[in-house]
Amino acid sequence: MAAIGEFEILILMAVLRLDQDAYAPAVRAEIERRTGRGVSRGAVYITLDRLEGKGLLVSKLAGTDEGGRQRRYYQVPARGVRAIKRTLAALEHMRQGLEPILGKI
Amino acid sequence: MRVERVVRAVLARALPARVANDAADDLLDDLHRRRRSHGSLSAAMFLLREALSLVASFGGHAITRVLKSAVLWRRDAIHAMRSLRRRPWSTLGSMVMLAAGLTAVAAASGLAATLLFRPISSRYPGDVWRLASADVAGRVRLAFSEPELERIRDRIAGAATLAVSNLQPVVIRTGDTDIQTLAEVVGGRYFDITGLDVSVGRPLVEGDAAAGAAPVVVISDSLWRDRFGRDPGAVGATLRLNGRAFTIVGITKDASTSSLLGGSVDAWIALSHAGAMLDRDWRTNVERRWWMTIVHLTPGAGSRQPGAESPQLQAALDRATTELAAQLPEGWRERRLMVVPGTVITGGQRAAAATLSIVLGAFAVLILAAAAANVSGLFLAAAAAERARAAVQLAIGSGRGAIVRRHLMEGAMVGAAGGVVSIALYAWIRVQLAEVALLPTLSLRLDLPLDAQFILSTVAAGASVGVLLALGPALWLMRLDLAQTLRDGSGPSVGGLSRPRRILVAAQVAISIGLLAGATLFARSMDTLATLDVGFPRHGLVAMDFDLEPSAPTSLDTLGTTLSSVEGSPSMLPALAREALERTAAVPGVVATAMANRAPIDSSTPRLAVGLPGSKGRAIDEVTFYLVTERYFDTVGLPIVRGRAFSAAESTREDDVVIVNETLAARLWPNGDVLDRPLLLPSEQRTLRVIGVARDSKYRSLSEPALPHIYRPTRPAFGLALLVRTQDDSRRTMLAVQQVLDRVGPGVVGFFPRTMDDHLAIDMLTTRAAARASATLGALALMLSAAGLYGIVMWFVEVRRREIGVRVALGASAGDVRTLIVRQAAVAAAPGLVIGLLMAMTLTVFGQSLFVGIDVVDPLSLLLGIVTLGVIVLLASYLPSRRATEVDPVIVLRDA
Repeated sequence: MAAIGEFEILILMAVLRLDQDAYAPAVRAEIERRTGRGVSRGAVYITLDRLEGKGLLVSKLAGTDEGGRQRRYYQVPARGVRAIKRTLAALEHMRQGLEPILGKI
Repeated sequence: MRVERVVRAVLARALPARVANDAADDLLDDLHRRRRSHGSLSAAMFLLREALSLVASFGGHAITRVLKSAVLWRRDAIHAMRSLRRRPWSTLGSMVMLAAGLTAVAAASGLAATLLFRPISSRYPGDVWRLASADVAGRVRLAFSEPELERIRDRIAGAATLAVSNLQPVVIRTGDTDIQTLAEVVGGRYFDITGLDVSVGRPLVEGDAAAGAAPVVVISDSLWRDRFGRDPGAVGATLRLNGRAFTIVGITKDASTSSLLGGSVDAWIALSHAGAMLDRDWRTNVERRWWMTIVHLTPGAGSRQPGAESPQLQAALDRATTELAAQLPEGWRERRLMVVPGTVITGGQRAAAATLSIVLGAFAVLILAAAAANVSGLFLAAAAAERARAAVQLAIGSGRGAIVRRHLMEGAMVGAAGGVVSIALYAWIRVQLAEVALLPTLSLRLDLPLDAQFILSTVAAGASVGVLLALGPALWLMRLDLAQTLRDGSGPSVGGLSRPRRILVAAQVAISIGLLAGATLFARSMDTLATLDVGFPRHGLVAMDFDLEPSAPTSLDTLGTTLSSVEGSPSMLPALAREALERTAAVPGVVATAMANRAPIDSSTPRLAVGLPGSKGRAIDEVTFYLVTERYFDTVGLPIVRGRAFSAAESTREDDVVIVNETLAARLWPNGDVLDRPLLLPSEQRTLRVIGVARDSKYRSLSEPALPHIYRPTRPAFGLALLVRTQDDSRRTMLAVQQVLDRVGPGVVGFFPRTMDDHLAIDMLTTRAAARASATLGALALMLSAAGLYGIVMWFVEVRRREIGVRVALGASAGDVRTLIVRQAAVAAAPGLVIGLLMAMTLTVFGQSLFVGIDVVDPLSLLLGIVTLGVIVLLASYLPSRRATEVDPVIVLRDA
């Protein structure tokens, strides 16, 4: 199982949140809105492609945008969900006992 | 929508294919939105920002892409390696041939660079020129006399400085051994301007050239090695140059440049002591143009591009020309000063070097072209052999592009390997040329360039040639008809490839046979020359040029006092020469000594016309002659067949008597009545009396036909060749004689001591060089033509496997198959044999003067031609015929 990085997990969780509406511009907007930080368009597309390559995302063409073009919608398969859980659990394990330093997040 | 197209194109390259289109849509939507809400300027700013952010993400992506393609390359390389390893001989052959071609080109270009472009100064390569003068007809003179230079120096001061040098043969004595070598007299700035560097001690500086400076010398690394065993204590030691003592102050670095290309200069002394080597009047005599010059442009003087001439210097030279014309009108009225490029080789030598470079370059390109053609033949045969594999690869989904890429990779690998091998060969050639002993007394030093750039460009050239050569076979495979190849194993049609390839191979066979035949002819000529009867025994005869050192005239007065038997100065020279001859004769082991105007068999032997009195206009022109002293015939060992040799009195008085050789005697007096006949010398209006007939010998060259020749008596004198017949070891005698001469008087020396074998080596030099060159080129051509033929035969076997299978099925034995293949090779090579032998015969007919003792149709070279052809055919068909006998009829017929 390939390790996933911080930006990858942000993308995966954004796709989960958006549920049926997870297409690239929405994913980017979701991350920007929730984390309050700007995200580069290129980074979003490359990471979406990479995650799909790793099998942590699946995509299908569906619906249309304003210009009448087809949009690619993303979903997180079971494998992707497991990867998110594992990463979050690992983070949680690492966080335990660090409260005196990190404080309450 | 230009913007849209650009955005899509850029993103298509920057992002993975799957998402590139989405990203473009997304970006363009945002762009339109922004334009509508914020206006065009803001939209443009947005696009710029996005572009920068894309560049950032693209960077990361591009790196991964390169890494991924490296994996692809690696896979190709592994495939290519495997494929090359499957056919080791063809691979090795291709590599060696490319290496040979590349080495030839590298060596030719290296030599051209050394010969034509090597700057005289390693320190200021772009800023040095040579001073020259040209007359109205444009004839250029590079040498200057000191009185001329004095005036020029004054005029050009400020624009440039001058370094001068003069190269002279010199006798250097260390301990009690004399060596004859070359030395340079140089001006004070010479070491500085040329960049000639010392490894120990110091270079010569301006102070050394000043009047009254101590006599010091800088010696070469090789002299230091040979005479001092690299002892650092050599600095400070004393060395005698032409009998004068000099203190060693420095040793030049190994492979230092000198103003003479190829010359092994062993010592440098300063101008202030030029008297040790030059005439006494070198400072004052306008006609004694001893000096070659180097002009170093003063940095920053005048406005000028680096490497370009300086207008300021030219103006100064024009002023100097005017002054010279006014003060030295005889030599300078219609002559003007100019500068020529500051290369080591200059003037007429440079034109000759350019011709040589062009000829060598053409040869090299020819060799590379032949090698390249053969290698492409081998590649094609390999591609034919691999076609089934390629078809299978295609069938299981490998792209045609991948197959082409793999072939190009193979080509690049073979080519690069050839480049590496050629660098090794080139380095070896470089070592060989670093010191070429042409003769025992003369060696050439050529240092060919070798640096990282040279190595890289050779390897890169090899790789690109390899890729180019692999392109043809790769494209041939591209046209592969998958279904057909898989069905019956056949490949694309051969097209018109075969005929030019056959012609090329035949031409190569012809050239290799011609060259090898030439090599045999030269080798046999060498053999003939080495054993040729010259009329006297070659061994045990030593020659040296008996003379006074150039500096010796100053010591003539002291000579007079050392010889009690003579009085006065110039008049006692003959007595001194006689004494030298007598003392030499007393050296242990010496049988006889004599002097002559030339050592026997010398290309510079003079000629004159002779005739019979009363037969006007019936003179024989071009009769060679030797002036000889009394015991000449005993010393050389040449028999007098009739009459007698010169007496002591005749020799001393230089009487009007003459000894003729057999050829002249037979020409002038066919009835044999020779003795006491008169012989007329029209040029001197003098009649000589014939007192003897000497056996025919060789006079100017070993390969000459029987020539008419006369001997006239002379008394011993300086400037003649001293000949010594010895029973002892020749080298030992040479040394003993030199020591005796040294005791005869200061400055009395025997220059260029040599045995008869050394002496004749000069005459045989061209033949030996031609024999070696044609043998080397012939061997190379043999290798190339065998490989070329191999390519053709291998191709034949590959494309006709089915036919061979059918033959075997019908009962052909392995021997029959082998015969078929060898016959194919022989048929392809046979025209080459005929042409090659014709070439060899033409060479023999038109090159009669080059060969000695060879008939027009030389049976040996004919035989050699046939043997060569046999070797080529067998070499070329061995592997293909083995492969052909491995054809299994069952498989071939079943698959068909």
